[in-house]
Amino acid sequence: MQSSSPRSKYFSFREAINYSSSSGPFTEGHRVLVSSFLVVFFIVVGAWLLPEWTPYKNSITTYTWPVMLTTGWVQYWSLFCPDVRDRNYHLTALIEFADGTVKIYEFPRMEKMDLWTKFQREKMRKLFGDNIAWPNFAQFRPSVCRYLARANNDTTNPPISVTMIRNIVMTPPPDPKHWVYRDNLPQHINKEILFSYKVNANDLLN
Amino acid sequence: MTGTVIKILIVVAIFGVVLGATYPIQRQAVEDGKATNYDLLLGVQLRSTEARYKAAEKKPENIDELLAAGNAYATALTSSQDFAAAAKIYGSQLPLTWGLVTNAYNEKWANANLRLAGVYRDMDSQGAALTCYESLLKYDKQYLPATDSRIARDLNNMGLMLYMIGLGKAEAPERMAEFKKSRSYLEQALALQEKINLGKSARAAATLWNLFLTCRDLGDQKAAEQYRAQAQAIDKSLNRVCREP
Amino acid sequence: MSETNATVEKWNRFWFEPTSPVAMALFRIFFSIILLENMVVHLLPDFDIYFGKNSLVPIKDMMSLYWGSGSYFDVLALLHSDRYILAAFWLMVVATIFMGLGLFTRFSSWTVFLLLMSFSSHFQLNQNAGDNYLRLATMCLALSNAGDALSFDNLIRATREDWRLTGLGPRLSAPWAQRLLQVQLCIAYAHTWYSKMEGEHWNDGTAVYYAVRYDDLMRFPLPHFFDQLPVYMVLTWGTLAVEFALFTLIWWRPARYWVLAIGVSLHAGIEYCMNLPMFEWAFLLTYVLFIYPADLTRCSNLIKNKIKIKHGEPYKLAFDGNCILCIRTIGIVHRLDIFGRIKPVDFHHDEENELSGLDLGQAEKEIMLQKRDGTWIGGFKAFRFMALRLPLLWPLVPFLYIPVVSFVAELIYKLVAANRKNILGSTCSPGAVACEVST
Repeated sequence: MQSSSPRSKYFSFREAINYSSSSGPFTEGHRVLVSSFLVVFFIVVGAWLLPEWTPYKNSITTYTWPVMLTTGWVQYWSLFCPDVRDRNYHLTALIEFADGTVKIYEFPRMEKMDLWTKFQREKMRKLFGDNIAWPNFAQFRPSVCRYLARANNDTTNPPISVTMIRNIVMTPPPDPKHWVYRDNLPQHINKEILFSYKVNANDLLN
Repeated sequence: MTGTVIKILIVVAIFGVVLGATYPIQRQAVEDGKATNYDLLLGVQLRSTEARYKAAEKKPENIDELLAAGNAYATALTSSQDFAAAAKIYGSQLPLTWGLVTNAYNEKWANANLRLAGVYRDMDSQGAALTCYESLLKYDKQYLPATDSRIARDLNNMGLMLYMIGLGKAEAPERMAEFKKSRSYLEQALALQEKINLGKSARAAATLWNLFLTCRDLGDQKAAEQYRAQAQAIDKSLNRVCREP
Repeated sequence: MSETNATVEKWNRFWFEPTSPVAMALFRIFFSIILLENMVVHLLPDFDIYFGKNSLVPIKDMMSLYWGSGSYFDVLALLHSDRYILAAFWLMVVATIFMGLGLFTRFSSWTVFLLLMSFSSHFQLNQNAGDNYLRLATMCLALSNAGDALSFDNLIRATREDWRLTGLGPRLSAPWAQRLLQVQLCIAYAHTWYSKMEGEHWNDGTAVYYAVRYDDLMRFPLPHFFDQLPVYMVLTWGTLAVEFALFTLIWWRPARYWVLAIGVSLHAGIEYCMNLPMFEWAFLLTYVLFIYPADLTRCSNLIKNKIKIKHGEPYKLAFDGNCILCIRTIGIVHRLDIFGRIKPVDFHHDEENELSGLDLGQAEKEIMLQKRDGTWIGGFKAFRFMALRLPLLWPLVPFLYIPVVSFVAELIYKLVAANRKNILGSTCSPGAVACEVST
């Protein structure tokens, strides 16, 4: 393809197929504008992605982080790194009602789903598996418990407590003594109590 | 160039307007969040209930206040995940309440037992919880009519504990043995709920959900799906403001 | 000083040297499908759990527990009713469809970008790396000229354009937004590679063993002969090597397609083993941007040739090369004809042997198309015949065969033909002789 068209004559159809017009070169002003944008982008993103041990990283990101948030440039590319997870787990909750009846609720559990449901509900895995299950997101656990209480509300027998449990098992190490095939992984036999929430009457209001 | 600058200004203006309009809402939410901070409130609750309980302990003759203060303090302790301390308080209520009623249903003792079971359950001591639920079931069967909903509750809780014990077993035969026992209790609970016209209640839904998981893990997919469908139908009929994820 | 100039020159060439928008347009189309999948398949079924008054984490909690004093962009926070939030969601869906079709491309992609940002700020907890990438890529689309090819915008432009002056190729422009997305992909690979290098299991060769044992991500089974430690060691170190190549060797022309091919294998492997919707697809799709424009043209020609071999020579479409209206019509037909099934022939200027059997008188009144048996058909019948052979017009075809519709369409065709000056513009080019004559 050529970017210029000879103005002295018209193209025939066959000639025209092989020619493209051009929006023309950028003006100096455009170039400066776009280049400035690019430089800001790379500084902001680059600072954020610097290794944690980088000197002055925190003092740089103090200034770049707000820009990153506002512009939507936030990015994490640490899937499976720095190290892979060596455990499997799922969350459950015990919901106790006023009369003492207890119900176990299993948060969306991907390995029990068929392929389509698993595909469809991937965000649930992210939400409960990657986030709520771990200390970095512990501040949301009261909200989750409140939600579960509302989702199980019964005016004649309201929920009074919600306890979140992480059911977990370590992946056996890949040595001949402990080897397990991928289709024969151990059950999540260990329980860790994550959070116990006393439901208030206000939590159940709409 | 002018066109480009105008476009940039439009985008900047959109960001400015949205961020500017969001700011007061965000600031208010952050302030409200500070005022209702869960950990902060829990700390306050813990201190006040502890003081109340200690005061009540000094007047053991006022049993009602001692129980109420103990319950409040133990609840706060449970929320702080100090299950052992909570279990100690509930444990102390058992002998305290045992002699209050003779030859009739002792509500206070039953409640103390139920709460103790709850703490054991939450602290991952299902064996101890099972013992409490078992003794409560025996007691309820002794003093309550056979059609009392509390017996269904006990059966449900027994079934759930057995299911949770099964979840902790690594070997399939041991798991299955617990799940089978669990299923039996849960089905008894469901049968009783149906008998006393609670078959469409939220209580029955709780038992049905427990049954769904037990049957699923037992490998009885057909029964599991049936129980799930019934539980979902009840949940739907209750028109709650939100649904389980 | 000259070194500085050379650097500036290189910078300018890399970011601003005009290039074809076709790669970005292709990216736009398929990327819209991934976005739609994200919205309709992943978000919509659990919409009530994520957004709205009774959501899992209501916006006020999200603000106090996550946002803090951070300046997140969230239009939804200003909407006080769940109905408006749902309306915003459907607006985003519609804007995405428009973006895919290339209709008001820049406006629709900005709308998608701002709403994507809003929805992710509103409920942060279900956002994964795929969502980050979708947002960044949408921003690059909004900044690019992705609507300059394979789009309705381009079709609309064709109604005003004289291809005898501009050519029929897509308009070239500065590819800085495309380059930014290319660099962004490399940033992602570089960061993930670097982070992995710090990981113990990545160094001892067991990382893939553990990764494929995430039971919550598992997709298809692996046969036991494959499920062996030596295989995982090769795959672990292979992954590091491939990811390294994907931000370094990818810029070296002789290695680019090899690197891309290995990258495809890596992602296909992950896609087979693991359930990570959007993420793999979005990354793979970005590889399109690394295909050189000349190679894209070559690919397109290859496909056209294959189709020609299978379905025969393209159909001749006679047009009046002296008439601006006909010129514009042909410009539109050409843009719709992505598989080269129509061969426009200018009955004034092209060789006469191309036009055997054509009634010139009729050709001056309406478009004429030659069937396989050599006969020429005109007007609505020609359009219908053509529509059947141009995939982009297939959505219209069923309607064109309904008797009443075809009767009405015939009338509309005549009406359009009579008023086409108002529709397509009536400016004659210098030297044109037959502006008044119909196509």
